[in-house]
Amino acid sequence: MRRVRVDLREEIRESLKKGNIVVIHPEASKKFKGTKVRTIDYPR
Amino acid sequence: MVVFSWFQTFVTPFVSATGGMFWHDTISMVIPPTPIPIDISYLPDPKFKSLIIGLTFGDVYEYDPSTGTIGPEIRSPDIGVYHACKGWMDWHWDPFVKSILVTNPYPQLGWCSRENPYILRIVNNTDKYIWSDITFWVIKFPIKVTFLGMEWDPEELFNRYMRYVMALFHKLGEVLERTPTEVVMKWMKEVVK
Repeated sequence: MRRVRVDLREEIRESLKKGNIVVIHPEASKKFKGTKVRTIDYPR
Repeated sequence: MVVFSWFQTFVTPFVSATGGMFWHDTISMVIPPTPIPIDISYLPDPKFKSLIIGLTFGDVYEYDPSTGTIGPEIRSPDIGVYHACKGWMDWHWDPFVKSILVTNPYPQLGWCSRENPYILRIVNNTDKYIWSDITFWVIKFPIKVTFLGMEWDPEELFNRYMRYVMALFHKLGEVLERTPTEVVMKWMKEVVK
């Protein structure tokens, strides 16, 4: 088992609480769209 | 990269002649339990026109949002992805089970653009949060490519090229049908000398 970086955990938790899927990629916000999609541009 | 024989034989000459560039996008995805599937549109690169040639599904894990812990591994027919690429791949269901997850890379052939994105419809009918990853293998082309002094939409040129490949083999078949077997055998012996 491994753990997600601390600085991402809160962002992921909040997004999941709202029922969103989280997509993580350096250019996620540019390439992935959707009404229930939360993108995190990482690594930055 | 592991590619496919049909790709190397027929698509590689097209990529080489038109200035296509190899690319991939690898994403991590965290999926909440959801009674309604969630759609994600994937635009490989809005400034290019892209040919998706494969997908790799990574391992799938449970995720604990309270601690940020990934694991243990999970496989389930209650989680998965419907996906489609208009005009190239019809909607179909890929559950996160062994026969899908170990078929890597999973071959694809579909053109995507801002007007025709690649769609993933994510399903999670469990009560667990899920962590997974997907790699999209892509060849990206300029919006317009130049070939034989003319400008083309790469998808249109690709369709034309594939029709010519088909016509070439069809014509070759006709010639072979009309050629006596002993002559064909002689040709083949010369080829394998």
